[in-house]
Order: sequence, then structure tokens, then C-alpha cells
Amino acid sequence: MALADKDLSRARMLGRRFGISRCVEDYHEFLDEVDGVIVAVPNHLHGPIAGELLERRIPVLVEKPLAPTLAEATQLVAASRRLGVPLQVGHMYRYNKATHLVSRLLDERRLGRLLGFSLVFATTYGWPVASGFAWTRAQAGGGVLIDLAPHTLDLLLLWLGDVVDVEYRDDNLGGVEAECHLSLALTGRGEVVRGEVILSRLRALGTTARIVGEHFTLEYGFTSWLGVRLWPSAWDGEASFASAADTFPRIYAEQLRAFAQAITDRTEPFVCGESVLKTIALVDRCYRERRPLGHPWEKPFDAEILKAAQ
Amino acid sequence: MTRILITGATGFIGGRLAEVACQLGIPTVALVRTWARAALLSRLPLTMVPGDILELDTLRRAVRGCDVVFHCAVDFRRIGMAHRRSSVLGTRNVLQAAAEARVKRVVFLSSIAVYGRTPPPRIVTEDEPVRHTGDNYGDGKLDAERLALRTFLDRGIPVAVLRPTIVYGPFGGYWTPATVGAIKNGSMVLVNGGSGVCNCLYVDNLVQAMLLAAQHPGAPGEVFHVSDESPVPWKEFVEGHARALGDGFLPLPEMTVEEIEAARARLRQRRPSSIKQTLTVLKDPRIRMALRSIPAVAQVEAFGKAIVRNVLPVRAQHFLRETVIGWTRSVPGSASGVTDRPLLPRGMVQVHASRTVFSVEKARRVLGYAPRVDFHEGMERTAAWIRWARL
Repeated sequence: MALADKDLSRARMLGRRFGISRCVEDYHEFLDEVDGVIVAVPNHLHGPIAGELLERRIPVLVEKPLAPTLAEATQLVAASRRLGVPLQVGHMYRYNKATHLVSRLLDERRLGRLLGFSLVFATTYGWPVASGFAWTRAQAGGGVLIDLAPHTLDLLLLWLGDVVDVEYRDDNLGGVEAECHLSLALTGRGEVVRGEVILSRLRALGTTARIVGEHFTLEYGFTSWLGVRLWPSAWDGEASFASAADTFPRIYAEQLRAFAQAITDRTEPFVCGESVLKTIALVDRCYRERRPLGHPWEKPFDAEILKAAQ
Repeated sequence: MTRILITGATGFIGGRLAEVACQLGIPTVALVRTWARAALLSRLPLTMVPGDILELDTLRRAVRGCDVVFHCAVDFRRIGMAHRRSSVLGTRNVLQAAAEARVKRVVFLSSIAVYGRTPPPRIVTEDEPVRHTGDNYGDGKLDAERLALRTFLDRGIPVAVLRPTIVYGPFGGYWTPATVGAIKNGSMVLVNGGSGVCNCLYVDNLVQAMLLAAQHPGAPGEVFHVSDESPVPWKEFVEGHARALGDGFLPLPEMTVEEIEAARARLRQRRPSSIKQTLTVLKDPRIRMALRSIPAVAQVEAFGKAIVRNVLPVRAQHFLRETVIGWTRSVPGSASGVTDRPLLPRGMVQVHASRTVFSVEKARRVLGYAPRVDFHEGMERTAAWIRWARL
């Protein structure tokens, strides 16, 4: 195994922690020695680096998002298909056992007719990032939407079908958005189902998805609890059923196992590039059709009052 | 102002200043020490430069091309004397970088904390003598103020010093979260019936004063109090926050300072161990999350967890967890004998009991300061934010 980082001291620090002695500044130095590469660089470099690796016929696991734009993501998928080289994407929640349980419950129509859904992934941001790439549109491609869509909208599309309609608002004032709201209509399971999504880096509202059916309501936990709760929709008591929770270490391990398998067998990975295009297309559409999201306390600053100083 | 640098831009006041500056079309550079805190700032069309007021070279890079510097940064990572020293060193670096870049103005955000926790019970102007009081935050601000004013006299760097009062508003730094926190944990009382003087300052009014101080020719070398048009009783300030939280928090109990101190003395006699108290505080997930943003703390936690998981048998882990939970449950809310609630910290009691009114006459006269947001409007906006954030 080898690690590459422009900041060699960081690569070495990580190498010491996990007993990896081969640490380099430039990933080109080890490309002749490896069977596959995990690309975990800032978003705007996903396309160029993954594209180069695919051209060299090296299987790639790209961290989410696959690319900041649909055009770039589509190019990567096309390259992977043309060259027959596995392209996997780090949508790790797809490996969560609870994700499969929700799919199964919906496939078997256990909830009854679907009445609606809601998804909230709102936390006060505290990720100990080492650089500021996530805060610039040029490098991240966007803000909280592009950051969390691969975890959240991706699952909604997996469970509830294609986009019929979307209305998107965010609080971006010329940088990247820290909070966004979506009103989504999805094809559902034969009948259009509507719901609301809130993604935020500014307030702690929780991290859950809820799907309401005629008979049962289910809740899916994204962070503190990676399981599914299920209760009769007409019930106002405690959750009547809770699945066993998955764990992040197992999910990550599963993702890496899947990548190793794809490298060995040269088969299409479970979370292949093509399977995430729907999510990126939705993000793309949201940014194109964006409307401003105001907050109830916001009032424009009265510039007239500064005239006293002039 | 052709281009401004803001230190402390990821904080409450610096952040709102950055937002207003962008709204006014002023090219803005924000010095960012901790990227994790930049989410709110990231919405704005400004330039973020990584740096730290304690590292002069990073300031030199950030200030390049700026003609005004707003120095709002405070280093709360350090406590005690280290905090006081960092306050002075940071300000010295800011002034040095500003001088080298030949900026036209530095606005230094000091605080009424320079008067200590118990300023005189009357109308206080900027002529009131100030001295060290043993409060490291206030003493650090005072040292930094003196340095800034001496630099103005010795080197001609045009520095204006502002002493804001009780600053509140959406995304409030200290006073709004502290007030809400005390109401929710049951420690909030109306000290002396809430009759103390609250020199509240809505954040937009402060931003107005900062922008005026950055431009007015009469500002350099001067110190200005900044507060709202008129103070309000603490009862109004506290109850405004309580109402924003919804039903069930009013009426708040009333206690005199003497009653609180008597209760504190009784509590001290049967105070739980500091370990228990620490564990109780750590039960709050928000506090844990905040602590984890400090890399060293996150590493210690990961190390501790790894030891517990890898060394202790599962049953022992379970026992440990149950024991800790049991301990923290047994920490009494209060042993005051007066109420069954925790007590308001002494510093807050002193501020709530204050009879001091900080005069803003000088800012009005020299800078043309005319606060536009009154308490009613400021509290309404703050309440809207409290509800939105579900504090």
C-alpha cells in the first residue's frame, strides 16, 4: 500500500499510524506498482485524476461526489465503460444494512400506499477539515447540497424512484450554500410521492429520513444510529420495531471489500459510477434552478446610516 | 474602504460584519484559523485566507492590499494568563502587519470587560479610569487597548478602539447562547427581580459603529463605548429569550444576590467531586462535539475509546458505562435549599445585578453613531433565529 499527499508530512503521519512505509508527494510515483487507487482529493480534482487513472487502466474508488458537475461525471462513466475499468464511488450509505432493509420494506409494500417523506441532515458543522476547499465553489462545486446529496438524496432516489419535480432554495449569498431546502416529487412505487428535504451546516435538527405509508411509517438514522425504526402510522407511542444498527467501521470495510472484489474480478462494482449519475443530475438541476432561501431574522443593512462618516 | 481585512471573521461579530461588508459591496478578506468554523462565512463572496493572529506572517499575507483592518479575533483556546498574553500578542501582530501594509485604519474591538465585572453603579463614560481587575479576558483586552493607543501615539497607526457592551443577535457568540442555556438548564433566575441594567447591543448596531469608526476622521486614537440607544432591565432581556424558547419557561424565579450566594455557599459544602461534574458536563452531546473539534481532544478520546474497546472485556465495558451514567445521574441539580436547580455562575450574577449605564454619547457625537435597531426589533430577530436554530 502507498499513500500520496502534496503535504508529505501528512502522508507520513498517516503512514506511521497504519504501518505504510511508502509515502510520496506525487501519486504518479507509484502508479506502476498498484492494482487500484482510492481518490480522496478535493472535489474539483476528482475528474482529472480519476480520468487519468482510468486511461491508464487502473481501477478507481472515487470519494463522493464522483465529480462536481454532471458533465464531468458522465465523462468518467463513459471512460470506465469504454476501457472496461472499474469505477466505484464512495456512497458508503449504500452498504448500510438498514439501507437494504428500507429497500426491501418498500419492495414488499410493507408500508402500504406511500403518503410522503421527509429528510433532515442538519448539524452544526464541526468536521476537522485540514483545508478550506469545501468552502469554495471552484474547488467543491457547491456547498452543503453537493456535500450531502451523495448520502441523502442518493438514498431517496434509490428507494423512491426518479425525480418528477423539484423546487430548490439555498442561502448562498455569493459563496457556497450552508443550508438548502428541497421540495421533491418522486415517482415512488407507481404513484408520485412528495416530500421535503433540509440539509444544513448551521443548525442541529437531526439526521434522519422518514417515509410515511398508509399503514406504517419508517425512520432511517444517518449518524448516531444506523438502523430503521418502524411503527404504525396511526400510532402516537414509542417506535414499535427497531432494526439492529449497522456500524461505520463495517460499512467502510464493506466498501473496501467491494473495491477489492471489483479489482480482482474486473467487474462492475456495486456502487459503480453509472449508479450515482441520477444523484449528480439532481444536484446539477438544483443549482441551475436555484432560488434564494431567506431567513426570518434577516433584514438588509441600512447603508444610509454610514453617511455620517463621509 | 477599498478592501478590508477582518480577524475573527468566523466568530459572531466578525461574521456579521463580513456579511454586511459583502452586502455593501466592500471587497472583504477573512482571516480563518479554524476551517471547521467557516460554514456560515462560506456563503459570502469574500476571500478566506488561512491564518492566525499569533502568526505574523499569515497576517502579512492576509492584509496585503487592504486599507482597513477590523481586529475582532479572540483566542479562547487559551485560558488564564495565557489568554491574556495571546490577546496582547495577537493585537501586536495585527498592528505590525497593518503598519507594514500602510493601512488607513485599524478598528480594534475591545470590551466593557476592561471595567471588570463590577463597574461603578452610575453613568460611565470613556473617561472612567480603568485598571486590571484579575479577570483575564478583561485584563487582556485592556492590555491590548493600551498597546493599540500607544502604537497610535508612537507610530501614527490610525487605530480606533470600540468597547461594545452585551452584544446579542442571531448566531450570538456568548450572551444569547449563555442566556438560553441557563434558562434551559434551570439555572436562570431574575437577579434582584431582574431590575439590573442590561446594556444590550444588537449586533447590527455594533457593525454600524465599526464601519463608522473605520471611516470617520475623528476616530483614530479614540476609545468609544458602543451600546443600544438605551439599556433595558435584565428582566426584559432574559424573558425575551425565554419567550423565544416557547411555553413553559416563564415565569422565571427571582432571587437576590445574597440568596444566590448563600445557596452557593451551602452547595459548596456538599459539592460532588470534580470528576463527577466533568462527566456530567460531558454528557451534553453539543459540548462533546465542540470539544472534538480540537484535534488533540479528539485524539485523546479516540485513544481512550480504543483502550476501553480493545483491553476491557465487553461485560466490563458495560459495567463502566452504567457506573458512569449512574454517577452523573446522582449529581444534584442544586443543594441550595432554596430551589432545586443549578446556580447561575457568579460572573453572570454580577453582570445581571449591575447598575452601570455605559454612555454612548461620545460615539454619537464624534462618529455620528445612531443605532437603528431598538431592543424590541433586535429581540424579535434574535427570537426568530432561536426558533429557527431550535436552541
